[in-house]
Parts: sequence; structure tokens; C-alpha cells
Amino acid sequence: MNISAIFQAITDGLLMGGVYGLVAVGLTLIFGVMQIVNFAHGALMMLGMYVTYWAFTLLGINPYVSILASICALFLVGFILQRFFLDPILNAPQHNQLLLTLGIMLVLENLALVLWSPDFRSIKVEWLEQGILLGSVVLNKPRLLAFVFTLAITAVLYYVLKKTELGRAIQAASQEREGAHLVGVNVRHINGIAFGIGAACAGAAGSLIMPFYFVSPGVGHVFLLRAFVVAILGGLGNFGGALVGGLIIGLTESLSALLLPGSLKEMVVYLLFVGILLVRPTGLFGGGRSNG
Amino acid sequence: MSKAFRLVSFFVSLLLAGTLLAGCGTKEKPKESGKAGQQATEIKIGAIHPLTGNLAYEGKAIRNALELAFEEVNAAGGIKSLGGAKLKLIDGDNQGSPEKAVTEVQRLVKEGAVILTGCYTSSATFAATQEAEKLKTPFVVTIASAPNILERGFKYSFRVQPNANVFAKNFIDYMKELVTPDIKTAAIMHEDTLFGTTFADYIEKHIGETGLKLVARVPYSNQSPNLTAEINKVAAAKPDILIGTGYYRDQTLMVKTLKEQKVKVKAIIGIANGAFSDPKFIDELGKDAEYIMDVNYCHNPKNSKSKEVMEKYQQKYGSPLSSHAVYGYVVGKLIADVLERAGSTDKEKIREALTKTNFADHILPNKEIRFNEAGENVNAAGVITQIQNGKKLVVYPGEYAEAKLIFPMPQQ
Repeated sequence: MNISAIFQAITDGLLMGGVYGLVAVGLTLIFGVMQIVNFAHGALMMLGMYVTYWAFTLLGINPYVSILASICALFLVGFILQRFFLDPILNAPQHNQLLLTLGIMLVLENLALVLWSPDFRSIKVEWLEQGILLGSVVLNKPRLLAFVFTLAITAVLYYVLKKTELGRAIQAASQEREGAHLVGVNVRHINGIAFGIGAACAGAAGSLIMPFYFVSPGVGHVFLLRAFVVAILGGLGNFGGALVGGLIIGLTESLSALLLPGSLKEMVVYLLFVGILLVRPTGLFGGGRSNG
Repeated sequence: MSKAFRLVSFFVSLLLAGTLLAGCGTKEKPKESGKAGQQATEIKIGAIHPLTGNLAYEGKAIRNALELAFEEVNAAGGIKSLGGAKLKLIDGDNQGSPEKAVTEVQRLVKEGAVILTGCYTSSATFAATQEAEKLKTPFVVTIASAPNILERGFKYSFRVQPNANVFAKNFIDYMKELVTPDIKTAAIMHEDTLFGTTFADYIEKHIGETGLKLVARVPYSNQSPNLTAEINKVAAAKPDILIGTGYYRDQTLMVKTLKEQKVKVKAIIGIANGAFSDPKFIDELGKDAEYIMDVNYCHNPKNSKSKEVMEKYQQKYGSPLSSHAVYGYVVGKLIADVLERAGSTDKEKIREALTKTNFADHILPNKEIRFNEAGENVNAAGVITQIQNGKKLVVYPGEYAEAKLIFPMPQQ
């Protein structure tokens, strides 16, 4: 195995890992604020992919511009879902909430199946076709762009959460719901916004994946399982942990695909996951409920 | 309470009386018509395909092609040996699941179907043929490639299409003819469920016969969102040709990644490939799809009837006749031929006639259809297709070729 192949695998792994991270960031945010494990996250990502797909196919809109559209659309979807479906059962036992999000996932997927048929669809963007040659390493343009956008989106989110009034309110609500309510934070409103932001992250990730992947109503499953692994690895609720977790999973995946025989790569990812949790049961960086 | 009960019992007795009367009616009819000379009747043929769910698109296409074949037969006077009896398609929907396929077999047989066809997926066909065997009802497979379906000594199951082993053998046979001295090595990338692995095992075992050396065998999960590392493994082995077997999404991703990573090979060949024979593949990859080859089933482009059928299908159903649906049409015509020879709607007689099939009036790039003991078509074979100028064309064997094979592919 030559050295350039290994460099190639490392680059690819990091680029793909960034995208896994972005999917997981939304998941972890929702968990951090509402303690809800959102099974519909993959389905929300699928909606984001369709937004980009239709914007590109029908209107010819650049996929990286349509990210804005899918962020707005998914924020709205997330906000509405939270307000009308999740909010009423926020104090119900956790397994009820989990089943509800599972139900939302099934509804969204089957709705997509009816509306857009089970076809695999993808977009073909001329200027993204060829990779960039960097030494002996080929950088895949859409993945590189996805990575850059992921970093930018996470940076913005980080700033919003840490520095703004809204962010402080979200943090307050995530740390102590009753307390936040007492000091005048509209917790119900904040929950809606937080779920909206989480859904928007999924939508943005969907848009970013679209130029190098396929969309079909069931596509969410491929990413949902990985997003769970990533989020738990980074400590469920921990923001930066999700990003680092994504990079680790991406890297593990591509290196094991290169170095190990057969299709062991799927197994290695989960083996690593189990291994890390055995050593650190709250994830690599601990649960984020206190440090949001 | 008692009022409601009376009402219900009244309706029940009404229903019972109705069925009794109806029973009498049908019993008397044949006698009358027998006296009045031969009157056209209907022969029911059951078709079990996924008509809803994920696989609905292809399931419907096959079903439509069957319908088209039956309409042609009926318009030409029906089954003459049965007094011009008309063929009637009755639909069963298995939604892609083996359990549903079994209940649909039971239902259709109860409704009077004398021949069944199906089922597009191997797993559903595996279960459906078993049930048909139990009910002693002839079953003609439209599409299902798993060899084990007919390895169980069944008497009532028949298959026209080449099975997976035949495809793999075709590939080896064709390569024996086509390999030139400057093509020495091959790599295979296959999805890692039973479908891809079966082909890869066969190729690995037999590729020596073609003079090629297998330098890499790279399995992958068809759910994998990223195949870059796998492609790099292939690139490191520097094969002259890349063999691919898998489904639509993963094989398309494979070719895309190959181009992105600038990996150069002299040819890309699929075996019963879910992507390379799909018209969507050409739309999606544009010039990157050029020169890609596939060993697969297809219509016979040299047969003038093919074109006629394809035009008729396009006109009636608004989409092109897919290579799966071609088999729906052929099976439909075959059934008419079988019934004509059987001269009866007795299922035993139909089975007899099926075993004696010698049917050459079809639109496949094969010789006449004949079944062996197991029920496989002895002349079933795949052809090599190649994408040239945005069209999928048959290029090998020569007697069916509509264009010249370009192998190895020109390097851009």
C-alpha cells in the first residue's frame, strides 16, 4: 500500500467526516435543549436534499445557493413540528417522545414516496465534476465545499449560541428549563427555535450532500445511524464534540476501507464506537447538558 | 337487538340465495353454448408483481408488457384451439415481499387462474413458485435471476431469462473471445450481499480461463455513502479492466468516484448490472457513461418485431420498454403459444405443453425457447451492451450486434 493512497484516504475521511458532523450537530442540539432523541433527523435531511434537487432541476439554482432555501424551509418545518407535535408531549416519558419522532420519520418518508416516487435522483453539476489535484492527492470538489460550508455553519452556530441573547436563552433552557422560565425566558418559544435550528442543520447537510450523492425517500437511514454514533461519541448534547466525532468516524471509515480486507469498514466504525463508550460512557467529551 | 339480528339474517339468506342462483346459472350456461357452437370464453392468467411500494415502477412495467402481449393475441383472434378464447390478465400485488407473493398465488388460483407469472424479485419468486408447485399450477417466471429457484426439482416452474450463473458464464465465455494481448489484468468491485458476491465468486474461480489475472477483489456495502477508499484500492492494483456488479445507486457512485479520482482503466464491464443497463444511468453520467459495457438481458435489435413492440409499448404506456419488461412481453406471447398447443385449460395439459415448448417467435437475442428438466430455458443467454453516443446498444455476440464493440475504450 503506497503512501499517497493513505494520504488520499485521510483527506477523504476528514472531508466526509465534516458532513457527518454537521448532521450530528443538529441532532445533538435538539437533544441538548429538549432531551429528545430525534429519529426524524434523517428524514429532515432527506427533505433538504429534495429542496436542493428541485431547486437545481426545475429552476437551475446553484446547489450552494439553495442551502439558504433549505435552511429556511427546514427551520420552518422544524419549528412547526416542535410546536404542534412535540411540545404537547414534552413532559411525557422519554420513550413516548422517541416513538413520536419515529412516527414523524415514517410519515415524512412515505409522503416523499408518494410525492416523488422511490426513484434515486441526483444532480449533475458540470463545474464540480473534476477533482482538484494537490500533489498526489485528488480533492473531490463537492466534498471539499461541503466541508468548508460545514465549518462555516458550525462557526455561525457557535457564535449564536455563545454570544447572542438568543443563544444564552437556548443555553439557559437547556440547563434548567424551570429556572429559565422563572427568569422570563419564553421556553416554549426557545424550544421551537432550537428544534428549528436542529432541523435546519439537517437540511443544510442534505443540500451539501446532494452534489455528490443520491436522494431517495429512504436515504435518511444511511446517515441517521452514523449521526447517532457521531453524536453519542462526541457526548450527546455537546456541540464541538459532534464535529470532532464526525471527523473520527469519517477517518476510521476511509482508513479501514483502504487497509482492511473485504467490507469490514462498516463493522470497524461500530466496533470503535462500542470501544470508546466502554472506556468513556458519556462520550469522548462528556455529555453537554452543562456546557451546552 | 332481535330486530338487528333479523335484519342481518335476512341479508345473509339473501346473499346465500344469490350465490345459489348464480351457481345454477353458470352451470347451465356451458351446455347451452355447447349446443349453440363454440363461443369465446376467457382464460385467466395471474400476474404477481410488485405494483405498490419501492419496486412498483418496474413491477408495473412488466405487468403492462404482459398486458400488451395478451391484447395482441386477443386482437388476432385469441387461442384458436380453444375456440378463440381470450386471455385475461388478473393482477396480483406482492409489494416485493415473499409472504404477500404466497397469499397472492393462493388468491389467484382460487379465482381461476390456470397459469401464473412473476415476480421480479428473486425472494418473492422463490416463495411464489413453491406455493404454485403445491397447488399444481404452472408458473412462468418473468424476472428473477437467483439460480436456486429452479434447483428444487419443481415440476411446474419455468424460466425464460438467463439466471445469475448463466450471466457469469456468458461473461467468461465472451471475455475468452474478446481479450487482446495488451489487456492482462482485471479487478472486480461488487456489492457484498448475495447478489454481488455470487457473481464475484464465479468470476474469481473462472477468470483464469480467459487469460486475465484478477489483481483485486473489492467488496463494498451497497449502503455506503462513500466509495473513494474502495476506488483507491482498485487504483493501487492498476487493473486493465474493471468489472462491476451491484445495484443502481452504488454502481453509479462507483463510476462517478472513478472519474473524480481520475483512475484510468481500459474498460468497465458490468455483469447483470443494476446501473449500466438503466436508461437513467446515461442521463445521469452523460459522457462519463460512454463505452461502459454490461453483460445483461436485452431485446434483439436485429429483429424487426422488437422495434414494433417497443413503439406500441411507448405509445400505450408513455415510457420506453425496459429490458425487464421485454421478458414480460415474451412470457405473454409464450403463454399464448403454450395454450394453443395444450388445447385445454387443464393445468396438467398446460404443464405438458410447457415442457414441450419450442418457441422461436420472440424478440430476445437468443435461439428458440426450450426448457430442460429443471425448467430453465436452455438457450437463455445475455448479450454485451455498450453505451455509445448516449445510447445503449447491443454489441456482442456478432449475430445480434447493432453496433461495433469499442474495446478497449479510447483514452481521453
